[in-house]
Amino acid sequence: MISVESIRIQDFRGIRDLTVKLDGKNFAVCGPNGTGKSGIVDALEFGLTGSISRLTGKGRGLLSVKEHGPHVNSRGKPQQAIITLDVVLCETGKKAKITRNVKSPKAPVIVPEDPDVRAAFAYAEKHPEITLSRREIIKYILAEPGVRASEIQALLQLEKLETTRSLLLKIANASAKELRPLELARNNAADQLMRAMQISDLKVAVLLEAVNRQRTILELIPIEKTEATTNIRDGLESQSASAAKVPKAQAKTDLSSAHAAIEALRALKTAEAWLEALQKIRMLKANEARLAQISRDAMLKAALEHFDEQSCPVCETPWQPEDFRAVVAAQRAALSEAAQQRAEAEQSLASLLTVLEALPVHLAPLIEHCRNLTEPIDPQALIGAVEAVNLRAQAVHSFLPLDATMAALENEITELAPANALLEGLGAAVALLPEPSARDAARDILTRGQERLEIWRGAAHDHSKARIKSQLAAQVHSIYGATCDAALETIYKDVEAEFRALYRTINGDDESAFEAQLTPSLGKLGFEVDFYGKGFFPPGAYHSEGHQDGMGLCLYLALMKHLLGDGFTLAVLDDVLMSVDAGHRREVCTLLKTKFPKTQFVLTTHDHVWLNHMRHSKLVEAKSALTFRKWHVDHGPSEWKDSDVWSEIDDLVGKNEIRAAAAQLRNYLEYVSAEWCARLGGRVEFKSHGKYELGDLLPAAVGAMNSLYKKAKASAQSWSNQRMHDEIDANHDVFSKAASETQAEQWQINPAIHYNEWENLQRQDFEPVVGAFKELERQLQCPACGDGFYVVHSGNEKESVRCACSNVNLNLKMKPR
Amino acid sequence: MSDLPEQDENNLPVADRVLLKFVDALALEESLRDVSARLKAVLISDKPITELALRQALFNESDT
Repeated sequence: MISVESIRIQDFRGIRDLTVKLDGKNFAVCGPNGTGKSGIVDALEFGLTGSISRLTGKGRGLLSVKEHGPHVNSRGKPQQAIITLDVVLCETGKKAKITRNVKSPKAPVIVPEDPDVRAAFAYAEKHPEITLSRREIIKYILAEPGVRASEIQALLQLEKLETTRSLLLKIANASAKELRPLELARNNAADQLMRAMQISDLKVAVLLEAVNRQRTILELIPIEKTEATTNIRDGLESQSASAAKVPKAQAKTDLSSAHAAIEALRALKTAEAWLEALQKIRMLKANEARLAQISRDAMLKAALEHFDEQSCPVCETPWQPEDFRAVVAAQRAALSEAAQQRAEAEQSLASLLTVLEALPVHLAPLIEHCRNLTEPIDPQALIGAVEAVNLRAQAVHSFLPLDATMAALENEITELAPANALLEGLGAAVALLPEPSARDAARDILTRGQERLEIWRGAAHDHSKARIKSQLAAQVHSIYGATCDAALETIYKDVEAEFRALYRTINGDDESAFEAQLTPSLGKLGFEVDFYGKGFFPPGAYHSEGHQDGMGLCLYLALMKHLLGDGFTLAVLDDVLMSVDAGHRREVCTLLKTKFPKTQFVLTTHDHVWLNHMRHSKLVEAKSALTFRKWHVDHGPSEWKDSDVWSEIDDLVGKNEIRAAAAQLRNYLEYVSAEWCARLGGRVEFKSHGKYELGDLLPAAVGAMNSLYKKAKASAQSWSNQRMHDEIDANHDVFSKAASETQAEQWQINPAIHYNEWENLQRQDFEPVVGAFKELERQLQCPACGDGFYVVHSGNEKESVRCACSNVNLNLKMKPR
Repeated sequence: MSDLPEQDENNLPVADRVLLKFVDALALEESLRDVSARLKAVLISDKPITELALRQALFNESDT
């Protein structure tokens, strides 16, 4: 997998042209709502996957990537909406670049085009779950068990397992179904063979005994054993007489079995199974249209897989993704119910079908006998009956249309009456046949026996082959079910343990014995959590929203660990922890930093305090953050860059637009004073509404720096470092003068007066005010690297004041006595 | 044939890891070793799994 070095966003979502350098490190994007943070999240996701989950999937209504991915000013120009990502392949350190535009999201330009680079980007493309918003994170926690199971299965990308399971089942069912007619053919062939050989059991010994009895009559050598190629007529060809055209004994047996088959069919009409099957089919009639479409399920499933979030993959009709999925899902659900009903009805018909299909088999040899008589009988009545019964069997077998099946079952088979009459005539003709001599009868039996033995061998071979296939398919499906279920259970248990451990990490203060249960069952995934030892409940039952957010994050991280393993090198968390209270944010930061050291987190937040937590805990470095201050529809977001701000203010002052300049200055000072307080430990009086003004922040920041200078001087003295002391003292003087010029302390008394005064100043009066604050900011930054000073802690103790390049390094620790 | 480098087993998608357990379980039955090898080639692949491909692997049938 990869980490992101930088991203360039052009004409995409709310951003016109922005480059963000992440340097492969954790990165935070902070700014009020509507300043463009999510544009960066969308850009990262689009750059890696070619899609934007915010614009696709459930609840996205009329949104689409192609229509709404480009900046609003570039509507209809998706080729101008371009994302370029510079990345590093984590395993090898190789650098690569991927460029995608919204017009051709699935055809990125990759440089270099090396196989390992393409593989890394292909891997990233398959994992849109690296981007996570709060809306998505909470669904794992609060969803219904069925929905949760599908969401988590989707996250873990388990669809492949379900596809394989259903295909293996389909093959096993089809193989079992293919077996039935072959079994019928084999049994019929066996029946014919037994009748030809006048035996009632098709065992080798019984058959050989019957064969050798006839061979003895014909003075042929007995056959001692049967093999696949054994011919029971062996030696008969050398004897001159040929077999009778209609062997009397055989014909009598065939007649008798044909009568029995007709009788069995007649008896069916009053059988309970027959009536039950008819009843089921009548009930299905109302749903026949759906039944006819069962085979469309595979097509519907494929349509879902190939849906590009914009138009139907079959007819290209534009669809809203949510509507398309809902329509297809409803059709598939109805088809699934219909398929179940059909399977039940077909099962009821199976035994009836056996009787129906047996009749033509019994009538077929009699047609031959009719033709072979010295005075042939027209077998048309029998042929008509065979055709009629075959048509009915076919209709029942086809099942649809239901009218044809019902007609096949309900209507009298009128062709049976003339067939019966013909059988009577045939019986009389057979009775008149001369009784064959013992030798002729033996010859007839062996000749017919050999013919039917060959047919039986073929049928038995086909059936045996199909049976082996059917058993194999059933065995493989059974092993699949067992291993897959066991493996999934293990996965869920592992995820459960990982989740529990992660959650305990962030809530160790009051839920150190926290327990959780993930319980998979029949397409559902139950999820209950322990509430302070009082029992297990759904996560939304008693835990606060903040705790639920924490659970969502922990479950997501546990799942991602299982999904990606070492490949979990990048995660984009879009304002996911807004409800987590300040007390637990530090633990969240520690969790991300310590438990996922190889993962690059890109985090967005609208809460500046949250950003400071990330910085203080070193989850993100001071420079690995971007703070948006405002957003303009034509220009996109703008950052809090001091150089830009001062230029803007100077420009406004130059144009004598003092009111605007004053507003800009105050706005910036509120932002930067909060930064100074966070970095230097400025003490600000708590306000429950959380809104701090310049009067709250600026004096606190100045006071904190003064205090730090004093502490640094005392430290230098304790170490007897006079030179250092004097140097710090000189800097402190300069700082104090700069602070004094801004009248910082007076802001605390009545900020409104000062602000209103600014607005009424003339250019020449306001310029010194701007100059004073510029100087104050300079005094709080390193002259070498430009980074603001910050306090380094050792435990709860302030250790030093530093900057990013360590050019500034004021020791605060006293020499031990 | 793809020229993409093969993934480490630990970095395989979860579904593929489960499918590997399945083909390994099949291979434990001596009579199913060949089936296991053929199914592995179909299942642990980037290509979509189709009924035809599974049937061919299961029953050692050819395209024709």
